Amino acid sequence: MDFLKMAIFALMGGYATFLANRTIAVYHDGLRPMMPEFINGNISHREMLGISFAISIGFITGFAMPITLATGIIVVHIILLTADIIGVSVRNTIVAVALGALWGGAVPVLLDSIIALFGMLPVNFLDALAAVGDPITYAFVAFPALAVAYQFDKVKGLVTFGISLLGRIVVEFVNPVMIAGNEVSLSAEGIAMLCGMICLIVFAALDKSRGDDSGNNLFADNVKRIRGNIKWLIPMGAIISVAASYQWIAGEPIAAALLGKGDVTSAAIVAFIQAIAFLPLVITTALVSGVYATNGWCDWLEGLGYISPNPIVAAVLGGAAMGVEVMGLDRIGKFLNRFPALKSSGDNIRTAMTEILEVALLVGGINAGNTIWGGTGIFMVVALYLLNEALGRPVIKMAAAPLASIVVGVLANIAAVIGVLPVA
Amino acid sequence: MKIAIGGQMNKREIKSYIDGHSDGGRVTCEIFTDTEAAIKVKSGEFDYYVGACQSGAGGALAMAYGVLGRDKCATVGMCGIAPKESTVVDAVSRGCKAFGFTNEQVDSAMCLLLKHLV
Repeated sequence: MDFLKMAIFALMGGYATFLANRTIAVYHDGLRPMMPEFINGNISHREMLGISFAISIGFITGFAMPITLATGIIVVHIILLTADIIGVSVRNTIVAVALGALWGGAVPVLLDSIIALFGMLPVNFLDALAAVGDPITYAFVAFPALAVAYQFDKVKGLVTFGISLLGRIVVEFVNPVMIAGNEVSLSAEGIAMLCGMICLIVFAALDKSRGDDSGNNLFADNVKRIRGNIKWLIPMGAIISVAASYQWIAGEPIAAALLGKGDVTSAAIVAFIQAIAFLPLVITTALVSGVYATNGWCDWLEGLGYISPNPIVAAVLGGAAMGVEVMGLDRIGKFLNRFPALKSSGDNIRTAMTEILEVALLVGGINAGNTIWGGTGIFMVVALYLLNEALGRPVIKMAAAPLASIVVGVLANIAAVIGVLPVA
Repeated sequence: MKIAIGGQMNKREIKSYIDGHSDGGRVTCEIFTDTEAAIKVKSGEFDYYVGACQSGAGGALAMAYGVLGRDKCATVGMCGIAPKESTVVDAVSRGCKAFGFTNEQVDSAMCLLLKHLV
């Protein structure tokens, strides 16, 4: 039992619940625009329970949970979305914070128990499940090319793809390189992604279209409200970075898969790029509501934690980063409106990353199904994935195949117990 | 009828769906940032705002909430809940001008919206 881990997760859950309860910050970007009505009293705590539960539960069970089980890294939605739900639905702050802390502390224990339970099964499919994330580690490199194709045109998209590919092949060819007498292997994925990102930034900078920032002066009061809460927000940034410095949490599946494989540098790069992708969403919802985001510009707080040499440095960096976000809020909002190409880049990176995850996790889920139960697993994952489509997607597309491979694992164990499946 | 495409995800996909189901060119659309799209609907230059994001309520509608007001906005599909005809009919009859859904629901949501807005 790792008490430090439990304590930090309890602190994270409890503190995030406190922020939601006092309407200082919520994690769910869809909940934020509803907050002004909640603050005015037009929506009751009871109604907020319904709203927050409806928009969060799919992300917790269908998105974060399968990825967390598959990678062993806790995807923050499990903690922070639950904190939102508890914070806005329980009126009493002390009760709410206690519940949030209890849940936060319970999550790592539950995860460890589930992993221990796997070890006792006749068919231990934990390693196979971990392989669900394998295709992500290579596929995510495609996102700059896809984002460029969406934002500009097909030719520029193909050029970006070509340059990324070239970068990858060259790095694989020259590896390992000698730096100051040491053999160093450069990350082929990291370099390829960097090449693609440079293309995206160059194309976006060449786009001369300019917007007006007429939208933002509407929100001066909201900016003031968030600034007034800065002393409450900074500790949240510190807590998230500390948990990330132990490599316990990830903001989304790509970083989780990379961390699970031990590729901390790539996970950090992905976390920083996610911040560019989510920045427009977080800024606009914060300006509209006067309520900030628990995880800041989704995931650079985690990224700072990954690159910190120790938890103390992580706490300082995470707190400072949150402070910078809050102080820069209105300036960045105006900047985004003046340079629509930049804002579009963020939107297109999110679209591209989601589509890559949908493909990569489908391939990973099919592979895992086949490893657990040769042949039958492929049939089951493909069938369950398409049935989910046919039923109007009760499970999010990207989580359907990982969830299906868990079903394969459970059924394989049942089959082994009743003697239908011979155990190797 | 003119539709401004705002929101934060899958804008091209929304545009190509509308262009492919334009009712003989009677429905036109253009892609903007979410702020611009909301302002264009408020000024009357465009009739309706549509937008997508992962939840159907955050990036999809945030700026529309701020610029047009909450009563003019409706989430017609959210994460794990497919767009329903009754939700769309109800939103349109309430006089909603802005509609949000998730990035996976572009086809199903736009199909219902075009059916009831045209």
